[in-house]
Amino acid sequence: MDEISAGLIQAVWLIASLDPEVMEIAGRSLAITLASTALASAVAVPLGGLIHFQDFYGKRPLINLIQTLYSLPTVIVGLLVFLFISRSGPLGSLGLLFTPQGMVVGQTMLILPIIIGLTISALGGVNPQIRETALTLGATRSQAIVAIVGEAKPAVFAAVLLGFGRALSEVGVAMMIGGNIRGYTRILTTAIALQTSMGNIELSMALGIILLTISLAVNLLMARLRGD
Amino acid sequence: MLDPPSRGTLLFDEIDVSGLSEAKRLLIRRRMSMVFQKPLMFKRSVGENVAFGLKVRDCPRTSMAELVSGALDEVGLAEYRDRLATTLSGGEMQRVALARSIVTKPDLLLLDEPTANLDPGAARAMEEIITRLTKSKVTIIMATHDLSQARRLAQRLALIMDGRVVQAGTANDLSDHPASMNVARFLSGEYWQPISSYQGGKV
Repeated sequence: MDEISAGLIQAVWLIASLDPEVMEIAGRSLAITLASTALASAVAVPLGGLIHFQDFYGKRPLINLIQTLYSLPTVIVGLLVFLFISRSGPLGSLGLLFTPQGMVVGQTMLILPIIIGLTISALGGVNPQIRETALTLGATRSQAIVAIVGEAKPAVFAAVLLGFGRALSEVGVAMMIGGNIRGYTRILTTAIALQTSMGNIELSMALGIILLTISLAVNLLMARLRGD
Repeated sequence: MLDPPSRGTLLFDEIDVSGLSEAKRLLIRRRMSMVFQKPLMFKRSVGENVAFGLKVRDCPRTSMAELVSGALDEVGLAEYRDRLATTLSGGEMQRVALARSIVTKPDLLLLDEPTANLDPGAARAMEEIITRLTKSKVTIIMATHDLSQARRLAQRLALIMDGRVVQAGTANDLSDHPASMNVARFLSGEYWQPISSYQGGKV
């Protein structure tokens, strides 16, 4: 318990004093996660829509597969991305290994299935009568689809937020692809892992609290944007 | 109009609409609108719900506001404009659904048992609005199980039994000269089957 309260005090102090290293690490965490969430959403939301609105052979198994990938271990994603972008891998020439850009790629891969899958669920949750209602009010077929997407907006928003949360809190990809290089690829989660192994429990606690605070702040901001 | 007829032809203004291209069907679809038995509101404000049909027709913003106010006035919900539509009561939703359908000034309005799920007060309010609408240009086809309601509202009735129109005419035609024993039984209350009522002119 001592460590928790000491961690809390140190967290408040580190935040209040705008400790340069902590601010830098927190800033990098946020930037990388926002980039991967934006990238993943830009691909996953339209792709989820495409899968939902199209009928094709193997649709159900595909959705099952996507849902299975929700629980993909971060180290497996790290390993796969590592294989692709390491010097001898097919994308080795891009020089992404141990860079923040590489981490964005890895986190994007990690959260793509979540956002695709939950977008499909979100659209599936819309009352099917919405389509008929839109059509009887004079909508074209594509305008009716827009109306369905509009109804699903809060749930799609939640999907994106969940992806953001998973990317922000993961360690595996950041460690294996980023390499936890101080001042370059070190982020909150890898810093916590390192500080804990070095015995700096209070600092780890403080970083953990900052991580949760960022998550809370982003959630509140999103809720505000959504108009809750 | 949304699904092709399984048999026969569908005429609108003497045009067979079943064989038309999607684009031409859309033009005809946009001359009509429908209110369902259980209205479904978009999770937006009442005003935005009413504006939906105008938006999909690319109506300019300036006239949109005016038309929406007009339609809401018509159903007596002008002050509800900014409320979230999904929080309204069943009767209010039904009136919003009606406003949403008449805002585009359709030639034909289809009402599918619009009062079936409403309490008597809300049903009466709805009937009053429908009666007012019959004074305008719009042709209304309304399905109802309520014979006295059909008598109150309709200029012409068509009695449907087992999926067929068994007799059509004014309320008096039907009660004075029932076409069959079954019609007579139905009108006297022994039978309870769906009945449709037509209002207005040519369909």
